Amino acid sequence: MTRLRRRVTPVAGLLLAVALTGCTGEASPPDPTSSPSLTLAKSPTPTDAGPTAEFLEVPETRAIASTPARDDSSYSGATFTILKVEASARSTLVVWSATHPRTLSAGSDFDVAEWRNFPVLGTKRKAYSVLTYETSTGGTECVCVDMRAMRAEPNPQGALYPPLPRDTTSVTLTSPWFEDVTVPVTRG
Amino acid sequence: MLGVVAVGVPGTAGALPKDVPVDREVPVLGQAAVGALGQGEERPPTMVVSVHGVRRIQGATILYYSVGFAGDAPDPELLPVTDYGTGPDTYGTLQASAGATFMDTAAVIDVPHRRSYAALRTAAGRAVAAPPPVSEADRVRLSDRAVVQWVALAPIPEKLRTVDVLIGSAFVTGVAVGDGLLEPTVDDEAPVVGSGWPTIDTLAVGGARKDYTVKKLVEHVGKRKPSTPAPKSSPSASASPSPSASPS
Repeated sequence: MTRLRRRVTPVAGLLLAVALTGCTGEASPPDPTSSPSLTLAKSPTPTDAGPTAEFLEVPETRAIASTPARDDSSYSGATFTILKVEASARSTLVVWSATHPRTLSAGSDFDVAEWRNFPVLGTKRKAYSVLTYETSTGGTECVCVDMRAMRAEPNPQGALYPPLPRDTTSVTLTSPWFEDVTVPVTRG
Repeated sequence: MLGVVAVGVPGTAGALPKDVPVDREVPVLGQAAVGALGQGEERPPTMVVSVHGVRRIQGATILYYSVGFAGDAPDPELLPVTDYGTGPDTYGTLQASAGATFMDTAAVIDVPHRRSYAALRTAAGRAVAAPPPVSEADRVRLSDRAVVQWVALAPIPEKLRTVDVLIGSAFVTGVAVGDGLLEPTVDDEAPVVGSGWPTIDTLAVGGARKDYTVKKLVEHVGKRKPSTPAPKSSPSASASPSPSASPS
């Protein structure tokens, strides 16, 4: 589990404080006719008072494995990069990215209703498929992130699974989309 | 002004509610980089979504989050925050609308109890959420900064203390649930992170529709089968492959 308390830098905080209080540096009642942040937003140099970079950029997730798309899938020519298999006592999150040299639609193999196509997590004895739910129209869809296109740039997608046994250190991902790949499991 | 105190102006901390980040700190319960779903030529920049709170109130669960862009924010028409919690026409879904640039749903997910809680609805079918910042001025507001937004989700059980969150095409797992609205609030529908929290429209929350917002999740766990080797080639690359990999 990620639980952080991000610090607004003293400089940024001070600038923000000054901007919000009319340069007094003290807490004072707001002008009811104006919104403090709106004043900031109209600033010609918004970065002066903006938040720290921690809210604008996050470290890039490193790949833990990659595997080519199957030639007989609509992902043909793509590369799947597995970014995360994070298990907790509550659930398991799998994040991957499919990249392709050309921008293409996700193709017929990607359909949130075709949940059986989504990667299956294989342990020694069991196989865990993506969680699903029944839609209000009676269909079944996966608890997963939608996808519309593949590009050369990675675009992480996630899907939620049941929790894995606590002693699981790796799983083999199996899908009609790509060649089987075994990846380590991290604990969240 | 409380919004100033929120970023740590000294000398006023004694008057603050307990949720105020008095030490110049802003609670972050999880973060994710979110890319665009679309196939358009102009790829919108990746945004950072930070979850700041999942708060239980009477009749709803308020999800506080921020969206941040390093550099210029995209065209207002492409802003990813315009439809959060809306999803497709069917209420309570976890998927994006057809044609959505970014995934436009929001939900709290409780896998152990196999339930998800999606956005409450107005009579017109819109999500009960922060008014989306879509004007040209808002484009400036969102550039090189992160602003806080909120969406009202279906109420969650009293005993639920940790959940997973789906927001903006990303899952953020292991998020602690708190009670009550975050304070201090500011008179701004999209305050910059650290300046205070947006005011929740509790009137809209109270009158919201809750139908179809709670979904029952289904697990599919079976015995592992030996994987089958992939066919070398197929004349029909778009044919749907066998779902034999599924254990169910």
